[in-house]
Amino acid sequence: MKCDTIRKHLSAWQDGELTPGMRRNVSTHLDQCSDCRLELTAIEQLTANLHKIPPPPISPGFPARVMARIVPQPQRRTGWLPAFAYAALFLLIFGLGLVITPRKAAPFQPESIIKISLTEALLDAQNAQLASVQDGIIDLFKEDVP
Amino acid sequence: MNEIQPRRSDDDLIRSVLAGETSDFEPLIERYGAKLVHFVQRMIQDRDEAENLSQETFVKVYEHLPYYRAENNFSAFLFRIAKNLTLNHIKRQKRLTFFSSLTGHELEQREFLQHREPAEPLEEDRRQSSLETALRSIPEEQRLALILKVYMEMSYKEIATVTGWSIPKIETLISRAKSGIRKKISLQEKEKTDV
Repeated sequence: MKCDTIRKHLSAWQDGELTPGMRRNVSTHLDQCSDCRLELTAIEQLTANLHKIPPPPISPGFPARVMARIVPQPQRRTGWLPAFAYAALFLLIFGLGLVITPRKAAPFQPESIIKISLTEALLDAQNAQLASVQDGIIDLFKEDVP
Repeated sequence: MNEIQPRRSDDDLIRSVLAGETSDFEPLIERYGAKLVHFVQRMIQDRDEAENLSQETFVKVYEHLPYYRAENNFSAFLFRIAKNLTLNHIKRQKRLTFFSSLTGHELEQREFLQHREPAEPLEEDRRQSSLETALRSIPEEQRLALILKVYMEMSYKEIATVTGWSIPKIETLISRAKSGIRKKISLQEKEKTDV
């Protein structure tokens, strides 16, 4: 391989990042080419000098300052109650879509109907009263059935 | 007799934070804080701004924890966010300098930036000072790849995870970064001898 090609890979060779095949090619070339060996030495010296630059000191209290900026996020909800609330929500939207029939007299206002129904359902869910949530949903469907 | 507490893994701490124990985020800051500040300062040089950006990075990491996948490396997750914030900061600074030159305030801006530059390195090593100057002068992508390799000791594969770049691109960037720094140092040495 030519020196130009080899020199493109010297940095990666030094970093130990070459594939085994390419590593062999570079090693073989380095055995025979003093110019490329000099180039490799220069790269190694530069890397060593870069490592000598000490890391900047971190000011004391850094973790505390970060924590002071953090706004605790609400706990990620798990469990059956939130899942039930979402299921109830889905049923309401889906169910209303099925039972509401087009009426000539009254214009269809899905948003207002849904808004009232959702508010009631969510309030009930928040109170964690399973029975009232169930009854509430059943009543809603009963009212809409012709 | 004090019991030595076993070191909790990153994923264990994250699970705890997501379950509501916000205080368990602090060990992660202690674990990665110095490394992160080191990375950001190598990128932008300004020490105060580096610490500010590092704080911001941790805040963003906390906010995005629900999106963290346990099979991924937390370090890569952290540095991916740090990389984005740092590069955005550099772009903003460049725009600031550019618009200042348009309005004729370039001199004031330069003075402002000089005032904001960090204090001289304590070690007073001329070679290290030249090295830092040369590191500052290479393009951001080359600097980013080199810093992640040399100072964060990431493999090319880990760098690819942080940056989204291909491994051949990373190899090229690092090779050009080293070559660029060597040329800058040679030029600096030549300028000194010519004076």
